[in-house]
Amino acid sequence: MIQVEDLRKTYRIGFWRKSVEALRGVTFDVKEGDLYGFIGPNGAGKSTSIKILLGLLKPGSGSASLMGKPAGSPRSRLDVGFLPEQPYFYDYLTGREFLWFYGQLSGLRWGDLKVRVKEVSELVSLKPDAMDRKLRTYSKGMLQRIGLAQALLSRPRLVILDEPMSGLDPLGRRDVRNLLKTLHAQGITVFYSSHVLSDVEAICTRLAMVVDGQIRRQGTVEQVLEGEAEHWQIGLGSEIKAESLPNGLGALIDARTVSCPTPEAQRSLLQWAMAQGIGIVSVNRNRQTLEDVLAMEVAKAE
Amino acid sequence: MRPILIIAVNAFRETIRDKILYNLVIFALGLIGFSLLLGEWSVFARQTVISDFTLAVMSLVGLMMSIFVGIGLVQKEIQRKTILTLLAKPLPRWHFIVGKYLGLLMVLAMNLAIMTLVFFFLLIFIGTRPQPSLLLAIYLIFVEMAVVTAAALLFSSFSTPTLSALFTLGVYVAGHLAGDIVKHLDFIHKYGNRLPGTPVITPFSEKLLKGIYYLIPNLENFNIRGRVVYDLPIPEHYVLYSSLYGLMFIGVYLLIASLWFGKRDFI
Repeated sequence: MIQVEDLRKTYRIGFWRKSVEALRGVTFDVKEGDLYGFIGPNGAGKSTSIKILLGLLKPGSGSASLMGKPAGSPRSRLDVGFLPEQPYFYDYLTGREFLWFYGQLSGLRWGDLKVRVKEVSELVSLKPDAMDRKLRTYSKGMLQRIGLAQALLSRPRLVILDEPMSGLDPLGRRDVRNLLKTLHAQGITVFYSSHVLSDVEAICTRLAMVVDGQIRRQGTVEQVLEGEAEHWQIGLGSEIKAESLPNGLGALIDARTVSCPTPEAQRSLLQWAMAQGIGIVSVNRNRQTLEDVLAMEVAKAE
Repeated sequence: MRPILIIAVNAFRETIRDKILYNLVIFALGLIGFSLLLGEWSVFARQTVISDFTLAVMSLVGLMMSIFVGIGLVQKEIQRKTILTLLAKPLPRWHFIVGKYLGLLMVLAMNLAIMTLVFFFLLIFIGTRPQPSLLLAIYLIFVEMAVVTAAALLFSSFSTPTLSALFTLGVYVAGHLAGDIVKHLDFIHKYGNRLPGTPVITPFSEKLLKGIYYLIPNLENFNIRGRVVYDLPIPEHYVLYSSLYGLMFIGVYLLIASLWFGKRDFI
C-alpha cells in the first residue's frame, strides 16, 4: 500500500535559504490491512513524509509510492482518503456543501454521493442540523469529524491521517480511536501519525518511530519494545529500610515497594522476603512503554 | 473537465459569499448612478457622458475585482491550508488553477451583467435607446479583465498577495502603455534622421523594446469605448482578433501559472 525507500527532503528557509534536513533516509512500508502508527516528536519528519506521499511536497531524493504508483501522481491518490493536521476548511460552506464538494472531486456521482454523505456523517457522529450549518460555526472537534468524513467519503482503501486526535477532548479521542478500529476491522488500511502513544500502543498492528528525520524503530509494538529492559515491582506487606535490602536484588521505590531489574533478582527477592517473614502483596511485571522508548531515542539523537 | 467545473463553481460560490464583492458592486452601482449627475452638468450629450463614464467604471471595477478577488482566491487557499485536502484528491494541480480562474471569470461576467443592466436601465430612463455596439465594448472589457485576472493568478501562484497585486497593477498600466512603444519606434524610424536632437535608437534597444511589447499584453487592443460612444466605425473582425489576442495571453499565463504551481511545495 505504501512503500517508502531512502526518502530525503531538505527545506530551504529564510532569506539566506538556510538548509534544514527534514528527512534523512526514511524507509518503511505499510501493508494492506495494516493499522499503522507513525510516531515521533514534533519536527521529526512525520508530516513531511505524509505530504510527500500525497504529492504536496517534492522529495529531495529516494522514492515513495502509494498503491503501487509513484507518490505525487494523481492516479496514486485514487483510492486514498486524507486528513491533514489541524485541518482548515472552507468556512463559507455548510457541512453538507463541503462533503458534496469533496465527494464530487473524488469522482462520486449524485446518487451515490447522497448516500455516502449520510453514511459518513453518521459514522463520525455529525448530526443533521450540524450538517446544515456553516463550517465557521463548528468547534474544533466538529471540524475534525467533518475532516474525517471527507477522508472516508469515496470509500478509500487507504486512509492517511495526520494527527487525527490533536486538539480533541478525551471523548473525541475515544471516538476517533474507535473509528480507526472500525475502519481496520472493515479491511481499510489506516496510516496515521500521532502523539498519543498509548493509543498507538493499544490499537496499531505495526508502527514506525521517526526521530530527527530517520526511522529509529519499526515493526509490531512487541518488536519495537523488544530488548528493552523489563522490571518487576514487588509490593511488600510491611515496611523495610533500604539498608536491610541485600545488594543486587533491586532498589527501594518506597518503604513497601521494591523494583527488581531482572527475573533472577525478582525470584531472589521473593525468597528473601519469605525468609524474613515479610508478606508479599503484589508482583507486577512492568515493561518499557512506547513513550519510554521514544524518549530514549530522542535523547540518543540529541 | 468535471473537476475543473466543480472547482470553478466552488470558487464562484466562495466569491459571491465574500463581502469584498458586494462592496465593489455597491461602489460600481454608486458610480454608475453618479454618471446621471455628470450628464446633467456636462456640456456634452447626456447619453455620451453616461456611456463614457459607465464603461470606464466597468473597466475600473473589473480591474479591482481581478486584483482583490483574483489574487485572494489562490493565496487564501495556501495561507489557510485548505489547499492541502484539495490537492490530495486525485486531480492534477493545473485543474485547480484553471478551475479557480474559470470561477472568477463567472463572477466577473455576472458583475458585468449586473452593471450592464443598470447602465441600460439608466439610458432608457433618460430616454435613449442603448446601442447594441455598447455590448461589444463591454465584451472587450470582459476579455481585458480575463487577461488581467490570468496575470493575477500567475503572480499569486508564486508570490505574496501584496507583490502579486503590485505586479498585476504593473501589467495593467504597462499593458495600456504598450502601444506607445510601437508608436515611438515608428516615429523614430520615420523622423529620427530628420529631426535634430531626436535620439536614434540602437538595434539592441529596438529589439529589447519589441521584446517588452510582445511580452506584455497591449490592453489598448480591448479598448473600443471611445469608438462605440462616439459612434465611430469598428474595423471588421476587430472583436474576433482582439478576443484571439486575449486568449493567447490567457493561455500562456495559465500555462506558466500551472507549471509553476505544479512544482511548488505546500508545507
